[in-house]
Amino acid sequence: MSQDNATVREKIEHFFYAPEVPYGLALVRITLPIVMMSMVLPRWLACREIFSLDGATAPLPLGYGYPYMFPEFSGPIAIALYSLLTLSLFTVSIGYCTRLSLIVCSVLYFYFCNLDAISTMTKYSVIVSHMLLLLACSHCGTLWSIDAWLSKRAGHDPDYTVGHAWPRRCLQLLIGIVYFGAAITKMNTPAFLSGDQLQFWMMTHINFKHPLGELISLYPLSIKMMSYAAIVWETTFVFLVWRGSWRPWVLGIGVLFHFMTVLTLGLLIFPMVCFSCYLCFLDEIDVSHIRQWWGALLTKGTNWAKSVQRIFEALPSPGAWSKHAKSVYAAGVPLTLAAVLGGVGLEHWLDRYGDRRPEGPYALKEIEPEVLERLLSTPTRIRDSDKLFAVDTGTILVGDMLADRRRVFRQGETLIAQCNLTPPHEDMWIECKMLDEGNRLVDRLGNIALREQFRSNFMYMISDAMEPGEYTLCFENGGREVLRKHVTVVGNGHTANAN
Amino acid sequence: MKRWLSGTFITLYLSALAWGIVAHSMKFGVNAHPMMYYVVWDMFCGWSPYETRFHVVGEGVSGKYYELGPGPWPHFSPYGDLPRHHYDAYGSTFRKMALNTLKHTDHEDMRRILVVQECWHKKYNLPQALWDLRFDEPREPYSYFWLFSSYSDNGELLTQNVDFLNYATAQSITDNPRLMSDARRGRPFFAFNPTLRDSASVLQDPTSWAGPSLSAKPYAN
Repeated sequence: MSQDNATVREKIEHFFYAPEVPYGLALVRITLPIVMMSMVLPRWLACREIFSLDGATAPLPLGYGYPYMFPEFSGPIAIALYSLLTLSLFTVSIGYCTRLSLIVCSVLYFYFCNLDAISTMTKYSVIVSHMLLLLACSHCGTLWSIDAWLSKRAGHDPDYTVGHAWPRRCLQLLIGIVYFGAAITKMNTPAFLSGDQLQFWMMTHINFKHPLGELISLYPLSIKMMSYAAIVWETTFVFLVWRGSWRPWVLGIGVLFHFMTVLTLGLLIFPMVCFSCYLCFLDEIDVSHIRQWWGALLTKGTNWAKSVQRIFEALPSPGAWSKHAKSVYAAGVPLTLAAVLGGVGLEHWLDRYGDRRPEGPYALKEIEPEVLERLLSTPTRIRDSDKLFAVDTGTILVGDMLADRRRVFRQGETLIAQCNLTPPHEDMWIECKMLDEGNRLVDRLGNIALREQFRSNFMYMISDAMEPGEYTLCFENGGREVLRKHVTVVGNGHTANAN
Repeated sequence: MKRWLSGTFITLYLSALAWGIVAHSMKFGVNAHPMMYYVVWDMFCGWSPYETRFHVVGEGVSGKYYELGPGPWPHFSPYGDLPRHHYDAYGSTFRKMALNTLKHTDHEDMRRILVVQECWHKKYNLPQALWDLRFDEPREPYSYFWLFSSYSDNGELLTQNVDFLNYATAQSITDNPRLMSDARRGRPFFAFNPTLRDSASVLQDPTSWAGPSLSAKPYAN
């Protein structure tokens, strides 16, 4: 039946229930646990402290008024469960008892995330939880997995690898809806659209290092443009990603977008999670294209392709494992026990809190007097120099931001001095004085800056009456000098150089 | 049967995702249940211009002060090099962390546990080379310190203050004689509900007529 002539019901039916080989989901299944290991393994060492009664848990439901929604266990039990989670991640990736591993992984990951709202539960861990749930509902283990090798060996029908599309469709819809929801958040945040919030985020030091973000934060107009581009892409993703010609573009922009969040915001794991989720857009046609491309490479005799091919050929064939099917699965029980008990034993030996050290428990670290003096000092009001963020000068305003920041101006131009403000600040009277080289007052302007304002602009006509030379813009709040900015005025005949 | 089950799952799953979008857009029921966190995508919900850190301090009976957060063992840093407790913006775990540190260390008796918030403007996070590109004045980082909460030696809450930036915001609003005069009009009443006492005290403490002991004192340090 042609899709063009199908009814809406038939189209929906086809969308969710078309039979397919789950190539995309198998790749998600392989890559997602590898990404998850980067967050799960470091927490294993601190498991007792983060997830057990012998530490300081931070249950997410507590903030919603449900303090006892999830049980908390003693240290050894928490470590046993966490070790089981780590093992199940590994078995999911290699496709060993895939569905059972995914169910165990989904439940335990959900549980542990909910026990630590401050350092484990984030929006990417929510996306991972969704992905694990959907993978558990899929046939992702029937391809490129130990399960697949064992089932082929047992003489099962090769068509067993064909499942329905709906888990993959739900995963695709999930990522589209996540972006759509994120766009709505941004639309509801005026400071995002002005670029100010993103600018502050780029200067934040609570994620991983991101030196490019600090550099870009100096150019607020570019941030504002990126903010709008991000909203447009996030809003349209879920509508455009399905169509043939649009799909590579939308996904390509997604890869670029997340890569930039690594460089500018210091997000590392979130992009990796999204990249692994993008693999669910890979379908049978894409795999066929990749195979053709690979075949062409081999035909051309490309050296590296041949080397990779030789590695594949060197792998044992599924048939070689056929005689040990039951024992391979039976080995899962002692393997699990060994991992769980080994995890508990290893953690006990590592002695997180140093309770069993030969020299006794750790002693508390005394705070140095100079640090203590600052900690216990009388709180002060926010300084004027912190209410006024920075001063920029230029001549062109785009989106209420200076598009040509410079310090050299020609006679006849209009100098715009933009004073960037930082909330929280009260309604302020800001005065901008222009002083010449002899510190004499040449001009003076004043503006009321309301408490919700992020910037205040002062415009000066650089007339012929102003002699070429060095000038200083002096910003005052309530008569108190706060910031200064040096500018140069050149004559009409000279060319102003951009700074 | 399988088809019916999968159909039900798809319907429920997509409905939940759609509900998250609607609830978030309309700002309705977003905090109704912890599971709403799984369907609301508010991953950009407030990046302050100020950097914040927390210091969990123990005051010993000898008058010495000790660091209780993180503990003296190798600390866990979830996203870079910052210890975990700095990510607790609402202060829900400081008490637990402090008591856990005391439980596993050798120490003198404690008189109080203090949680001090430190804030500084993020412009001071810029390295010197970038600072020089934009600013004419010298880079002189300055931190504000603020008592966030205090506990007795056994973890009983003694004082709890709003965080410093909320305090500063409230200060910028109340710095208006006409507004404060308007807010003071009306008859006092005894607020039985402690939540009401807290929320009403942003502009004026409704129980201040009964004396300071009943006051919410949101700005007290």
